[in-house]
Amino acid sequence: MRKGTKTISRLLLEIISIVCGVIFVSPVLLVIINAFKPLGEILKNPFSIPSSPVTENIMYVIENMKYFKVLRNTIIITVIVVAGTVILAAMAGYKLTRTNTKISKIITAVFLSSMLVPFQTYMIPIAKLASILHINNTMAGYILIQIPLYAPMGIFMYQGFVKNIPLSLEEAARLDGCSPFRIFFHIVFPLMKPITASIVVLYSLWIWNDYALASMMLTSAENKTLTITIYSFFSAFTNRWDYALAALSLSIIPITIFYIFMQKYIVSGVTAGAVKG
Amino acid sequence: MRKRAKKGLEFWMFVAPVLIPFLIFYFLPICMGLYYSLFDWNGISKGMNFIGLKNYIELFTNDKNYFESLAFTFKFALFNVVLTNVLAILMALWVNGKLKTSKFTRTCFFMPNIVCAIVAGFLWRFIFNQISDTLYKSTGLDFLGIKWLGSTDTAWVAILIVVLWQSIGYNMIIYLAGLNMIDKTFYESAAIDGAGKITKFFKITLPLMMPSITICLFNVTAQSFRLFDVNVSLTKGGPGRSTMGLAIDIYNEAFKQNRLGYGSAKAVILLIIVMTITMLQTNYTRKREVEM
Repeated sequence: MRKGTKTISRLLLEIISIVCGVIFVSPVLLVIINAFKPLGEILKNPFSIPSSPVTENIMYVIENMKYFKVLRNTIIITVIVVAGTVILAAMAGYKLTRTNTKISKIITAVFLSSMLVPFQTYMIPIAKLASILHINNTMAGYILIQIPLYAPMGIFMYQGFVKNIPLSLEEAARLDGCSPFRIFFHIVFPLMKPITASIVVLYSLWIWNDYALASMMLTSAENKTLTITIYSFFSAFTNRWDYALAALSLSIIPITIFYIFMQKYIVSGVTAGAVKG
Repeated sequence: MRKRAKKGLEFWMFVAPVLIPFLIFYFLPICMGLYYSLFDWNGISKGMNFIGLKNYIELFTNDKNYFESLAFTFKFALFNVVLTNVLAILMALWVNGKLKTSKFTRTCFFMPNIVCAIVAGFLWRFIFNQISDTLYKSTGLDFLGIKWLGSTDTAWVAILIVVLWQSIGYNMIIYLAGLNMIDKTFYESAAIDGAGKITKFFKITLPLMMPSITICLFNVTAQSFRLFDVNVSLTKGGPGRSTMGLAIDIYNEAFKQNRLGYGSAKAVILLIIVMTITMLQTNYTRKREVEM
């Protein structure tokens, strides 16, 4: 008898747990459901399941905001920034950990402290600097600025990881006459794979979602990324929920699929990146 | 001697490729910002008038709007820091339990964090406008009938809700890691001493989670003063200027009002505020960490 009540209360808790989770993501679910309904149906009852799902909204948005072009831009930028940042951050993080000098400690501290400085405090001079260097409104310029600004987080995460790699391998390779770069790229970097995976996934999310710098740097239609396109699209269609919600879904759906497959790396990355002040 | 020089060269070969662009696009802009803040300058014309500290004097003696922004940002930061951390700890405890569905729930709680903040702001405009209206019509609950984004009393709460929704999951993950680091034997010996669940939480879990709390407090504080994307997409600082955060205010001052000098002065103040608060905060919480 007691066992019975225990099972029931356990079952109840499981159900509560699921309901809590679903409620938490329900705003996203509502947006996606309504993206497949005509405007009238959205306004009448946003909770109803689409009586017959329509893809007109999505089609209209894809065409109107040149979705595939914008998607291509976003993917190119993300891939280059992630690759550049990961390599540079890994190199610096590794060497800063292995070098025990005052200058190394100072550089580490400068990188770390930058992580709490809001971007908006140096946004004005960045805009100015970009136009002085003639890199404003170019994807290359955006990438060039993005890499060093994202690097500190990666450096920090790599530093935590390198501490646990034994020195003996590197020393043996050095005795064999390996050059420092060879040692790094052939021995150390492969060993750092687990943390690299997490950093790649986290960076991809952040760069994919970036708005502030992109809105300043990428003003012409040619160069726009997904986030800034959705921003202008949504602003232009304030009362057309059918199109607006379809646009939001086109941002949410790809990133959610990415999340579901990469969740493991995201979780370990967040944990590794937990900055100790 | 030669060996040392070689080591030094090696160090710079690894560090300089990221350090140089970092200095150019981070350190230099901060210095430039300090310099700009001493000028009356619209950013376009070549005429930069040196006016010394006049921008700062105007900011503190003759700019009511700025104080409104300060008040909003501090109020938001306070609520955000407290609520994010309390809720994140509770959620971490919940999904850390033995339930079979914990993993699913954890996935759901973290999910909003991956949504772009601009998109999240727009998404919640739909919730606050359409969904809450429909719910009000069918349930008659007063709080659902409020025009959340249209009133100065509630717009800041709306921002808070969206930011909480996005950031709780992230901090929950950090707390989960902290929970799993706690040695289980502490709980066993406490159980032998007859400690209840609540005593265990306050006497064991909370003190031993202090490192995670330090990290999360630090994270959320910095994040509160960085509030920008959700601010832009959800309220644009309105209604009136009631939700004009410090960061969006700098953006508007510089790129909408074209007062780059004045905007730079605001940026310098924001920098000082963030630095001071995070330093005070880490000093304080560090002292409370239990040595293991």
